[in-house]
This record gives sequence, structure tokens and C-alpha cells, in this order.
Amino acid sequence: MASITLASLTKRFGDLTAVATLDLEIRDKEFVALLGPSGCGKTTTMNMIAGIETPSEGQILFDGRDMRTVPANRRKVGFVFQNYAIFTHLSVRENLAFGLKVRGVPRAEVAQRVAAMAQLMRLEDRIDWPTAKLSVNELQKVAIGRSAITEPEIFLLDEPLSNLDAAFRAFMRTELKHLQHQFQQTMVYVTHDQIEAMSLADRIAVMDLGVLQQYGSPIEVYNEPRNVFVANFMGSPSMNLVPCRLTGGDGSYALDFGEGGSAAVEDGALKRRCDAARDAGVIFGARPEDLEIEPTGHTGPGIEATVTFVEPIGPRTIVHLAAGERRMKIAEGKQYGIELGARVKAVLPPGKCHLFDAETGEALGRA
Amino acid sequence: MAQLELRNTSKSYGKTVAVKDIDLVVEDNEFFCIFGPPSSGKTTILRLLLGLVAPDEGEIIIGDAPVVDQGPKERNLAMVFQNLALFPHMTAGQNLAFPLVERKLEKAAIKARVVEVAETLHITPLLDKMPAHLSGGERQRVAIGRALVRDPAAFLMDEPIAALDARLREEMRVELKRLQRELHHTIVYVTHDQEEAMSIADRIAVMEEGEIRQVGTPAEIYNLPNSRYVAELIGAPPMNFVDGTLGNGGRFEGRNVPFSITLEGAEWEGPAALAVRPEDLGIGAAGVNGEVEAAIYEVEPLGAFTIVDVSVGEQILKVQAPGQPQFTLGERVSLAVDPDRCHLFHGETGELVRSAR
Repeated sequence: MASITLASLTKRFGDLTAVATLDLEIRDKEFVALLGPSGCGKTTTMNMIAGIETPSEGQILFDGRDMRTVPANRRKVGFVFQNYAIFTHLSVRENLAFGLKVRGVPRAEVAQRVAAMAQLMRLEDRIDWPTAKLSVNELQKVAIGRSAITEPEIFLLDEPLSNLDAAFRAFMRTELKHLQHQFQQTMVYVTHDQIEAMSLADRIAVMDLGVLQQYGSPIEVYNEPRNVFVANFMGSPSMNLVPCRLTGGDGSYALDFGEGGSAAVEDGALKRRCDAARDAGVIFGARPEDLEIEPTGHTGPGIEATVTFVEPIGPRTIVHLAAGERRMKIAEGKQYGIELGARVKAVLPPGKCHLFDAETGEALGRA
Repeated sequence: MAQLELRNTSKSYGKTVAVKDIDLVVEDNEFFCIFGPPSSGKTTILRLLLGLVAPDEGEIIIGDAPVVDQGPKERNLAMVFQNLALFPHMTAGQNLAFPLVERKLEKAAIKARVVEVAETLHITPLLDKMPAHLSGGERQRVAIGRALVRDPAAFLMDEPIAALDARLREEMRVELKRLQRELHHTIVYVTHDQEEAMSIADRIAVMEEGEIRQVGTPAEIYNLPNSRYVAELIGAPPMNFVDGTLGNGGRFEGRNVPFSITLEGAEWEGPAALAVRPEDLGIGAAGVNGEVEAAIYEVEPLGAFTIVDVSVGEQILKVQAPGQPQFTLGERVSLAVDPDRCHLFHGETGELVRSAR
């Protein structure tokens, strides 16, 4: 059992507040990603959980027990860093066995657990290789295996995949997730890559400038971003965030997109969001895969725009649009054909539109 | 702007072959990407074009003129590197003007040209700032501007945006493409990022160990890779490969994997790898021909789509399903495999045996 509770956790380095009054509850066996750009406080948070950094204020509890006086080496925490710390003078087998040996695990059991881990990480045919001869991809597998083999109750990973090539990263994502499902550890995973966080985590804590922005399942964070920062950070291409003016009132609204025209609000969910708008300055949000490209003159509510760029990226075609200064991207399927300069209407998807307060960036009228 | 050509060009450094028998024509006004893993010879091609190294064999032609005997200055090509070397003690404007000052142009002419280039790049407000006060993206624009002011015969770019963060890279590649289109530049662009190459290029050359494996439009390279090597490098999540044997009548049987399918038009017999893109596999729906039994291994929800990892015997295949479908781990499903979306590669050489339709 290993749940983690962070209560009003704060870390200051001189004048800089790296982490500001962070409250976070990580359940036993949960896979939580700390996600954000560099400088958001994610690594500092993890270092405090590990016991490498001491909090300036606040508490860290493992299963309700205060960790303040427990040093790092007694927290039963496994650690994997971006730069795999491997004993390069030892073989793969010796590296995997190391953590068990120092814990005095009987020899027969060490051999058995090393063999099982090697199989799990698909390192069987490398088991007697000196690690100096391994590829970067294999080294990171050894690093993860070496930490996982001691079966720590809490497993902390700091950008473990960011040095790997793209294809292997996709493979390791799956394997890491599977590993966690098998071992049922509590995992805390630090990353700046939203795809990694989405694909791996049970819940994602999105951080910016030391402050928790949102905490929820990948789908919650993606579908219901709490503010403009989260909306923009999740997804690739990111959510379209289009400044507009809210006109009308008393349950009858329109969104004024300037040169892009005006869109009457008929969709019930969007109407509720309009109800919550305190003043007329709002930011309209819609995911690139949710907007529809229609001919101009289409009767649905939408934004009139010009095609400025077409990017064919594998299974998808990203169509870039401009309505005056306002820019949008729409994701279409493979081999979608459209001319540069074509006039189109980006039709708003019912039930999938967002509105944010233009000043605070907060989502309006969240369901 | 000018057409660039390498004819049968080779270059070795001691015993290391950097590039071998390169035949390449970059058309006038073309955005041409050289794509490949590290050390595959991409940068050597740029260095040969630029005149920083001389070829051991072969010809290099810029416009209509052979240039092997010319130095870098005479070739009039502009280079943009990943590590944009701006002069830290000069303003953005002075940096932009530098190549013209060096060429001893008149002051008025320099000023007019700098203003013009700054407007094209949308960096007019930055001209009086020092590089230290510019963001990464702004500095990169200035660096590109400095290459632009000279009006070169062509631009050579070596991973020019690789050091920027993901969002900025997305913005900059759109910007570069716009510039190229508006100004009718010939650009040779080196990258190891397949998404960048797909997004930006008119055509892509895929390199392997100093040789060109395939040249084509992004769609050709993606849809009709000519070898397993190219198929593996292009696309994210990566293509699925099932190793096996192609038998009589186009019957493919996976080796140690319960995966069989009949592929019409596959005349050849022998060891083969079947390849299919994650978005060309379906889950649960009835297969056109050849349903494969599978179980849900892991589910990766990415918002716009979901990567579903399924196990077929001992092998894991990736399926990219649209939207946000729900699955239970371990759930038995059937995999719909459309034979027309499958490629076959030779099991030993990796050469294409039968392409998708």
C-alpha cells in the first residue's frame, strides 16, 4: 500500500517559488503524470517526494504517515532518471541483480527475479553483455528494470523516455504502462510531453509556474480543460483559441469573430457557457478534430476563413485557416485535398465548444 | 533562384563513407527535405553543396554551372544552422545587415533591404533589440533573416528549428513554408524529424548510411515506402510489422504469430514481413478478408485519437482508432485487416514485394 498525499507543499529557492501550495492526492497503485513546461515545478515536486529536496512548507504523507523525518534511502522509493544511472563496468545481469543483492535477497531468488525481469524487458539475449555495449534504448530498459526489480512501493520516473528515438519511445510507453499494471506500484512520472502523459497516466497533474492548473484523467483534462493554459498545452495540434466578442443576452447569444463573421449560439452546452460570461471579452475554444470544414454559405454557425497552409502529416491533414488576425487549425483525414486561398467556413461542433474568460483565462460555464 | 544537382557524387573521410553515388536534383523553387537518422549523410550533402568539402567523385551543379572548382563564396548559397550564431553585441538589425556590410553595399541600400526582409519575417519590432533579449523563436527568425538579406541562389538549412520547443517548431515550420512559397526560394532542408519533413517538404529524400533510399512527395513516401527501412522511419506511431512467410496464392502466415491473411497480387513466395499502419487497422469490426484474433494489451487515449495496443499471440500491434473509444484490458477482440492497406517486404532484404493499393 502506498498512497501519497501532498498538502500545501511549497518549495522556495531564494526569491523563486518553484512549487506553490500544492495539494495532490495520489492513490495507491495509481499512475500519475506531473506534466508541464520547463520551470513548472514538476521535477522539484518529485524530488520532494523522493526526499532529495526538503519542502519549505507543507507536508508529504505516504499512507497518511508524515515523511518529514524519513530520509530518502528509507522511503522505499524507486527512481529512474532521464540519464540512466547504470554501472557501466557491470553486465546487464549484474546491473539488474544489484538492488536485490544489497538488500540481502537469497541468491536463488535473485537469479529467478533477474530472469523474470530480463524477459519482461525483452533483454534476455543481452543478459551477459557488458552494458557499455548496449544501445541507448537498451540502456534505458536496463535502468527501468534495475529500479523496478526491487519492487518499490512507489516508483518515480523523471523524463525516462526523452532521450530515446521516436519509434522506441512509442514502444516503451506501452511497455511501461504494462509494467505498472503488472507490478501495481504507485507511479509518479514527470514529463513535458503531453502525449506521454495522456498515453500513460491514470491522472495528470498539469503544472505551470509552480502552480497546479488541473488534476484529472487524461480524457477529462483533454475534453474539459479548466483554463486556457491547459487547453493550449494538451493536444497536438493544440486547441484553437480564438478571441471573440459575446453579443446579445438573455439566452440569445452570438459570437462575433470580426472578419470571420458572427456565429449564432444554438448549441445548449455553449449557451450555458455564454450565460456564465461576465463580460463580452471571451476566447472561443475548439479542438482541431472537432471543427468541420464546410463551403462558405453553409447555414451552421461558424467562422468564415481562408486556407493558408495544408500540412499532410501521415494519417492526418492539418488545414490552417485565417480569418483576419484570427488563426485556426482543422484536422482532416489522410489525403484531404483543398486549395490554398480557398474560402471556407469552419463550422462549430455542437457540444464540443469551449469558452474562456479573456482576462483570467478561466473556463466559463464548465459542465 | 536556382536548381541544384548532385551527379554521382561520393565523399569519404578516410575509410568512412559519408555519402555514396548520390544522384539528386532539387528543382528551382522546391522545398526539398533530406531526412534520415544521425550519421546517414544528410549534413555531408549540405556541406558538398555549400563547398565546405570537395567530393571525391561526381559533379555538383548550381543553376547550369558546374561548381566543384568554386569556393563557398562564389556559389552564393545561404546556410542556416541549428545553432544560430547571432553576434551577441549587435542588435537584431545590425545582425541582419551584417552580410551586406561585409559585401560593402551602400548604406541606403542596406537599410532598405533590412527593412524589407524584416517585414517579410514579421520581425520589424525586434530590429533594435539585442539577441539576449529575444526569445528562441525570435532569434531563429533573425538568423533566417540574415541568410535572406543576401538574395542567394538557394538556401541550405541544417535542422534549423530542432532546438526550439514543440509548439514553436510547429509555428516555425508553417512560417518557413510560407516564406518559401511567397519568395520562390529553393530550399534544401535537413531534418531527422519525420513529422517536420512530412509537413514542410515538396519532396523528401530518405537517407540510409550515405545512400538515398527513396525520393518522393510526402504522400508517396508515407503511402508507398519502397523498403522496410523507409516504412519504419516514417509515421508515428510507427508502422506494424509481422514477420512470416508468403506462400502460394498470396497467403501470408505469421511466424510464431497467429496472423494469416490472403493478399491478392502477391506473386512471390518466401520469407516476408507484412506491414500495416496503425490507422489502417480496425478493432471489432468485421474484416474485409482475414480476421485476426487479438486481445487488448494497453490503451493510450490521446484525445483526438486513441492508440490501442493489442496482443496477437506474443506480438503487440498498435491500432490508431479515431476518437475516444473505451476498452477493457484483456478483452478479446478481432482485428480488421484490409489487405489493400498492407505492404509486403522481403524478409531478408527488406525490399518491397507488394505495395498497398
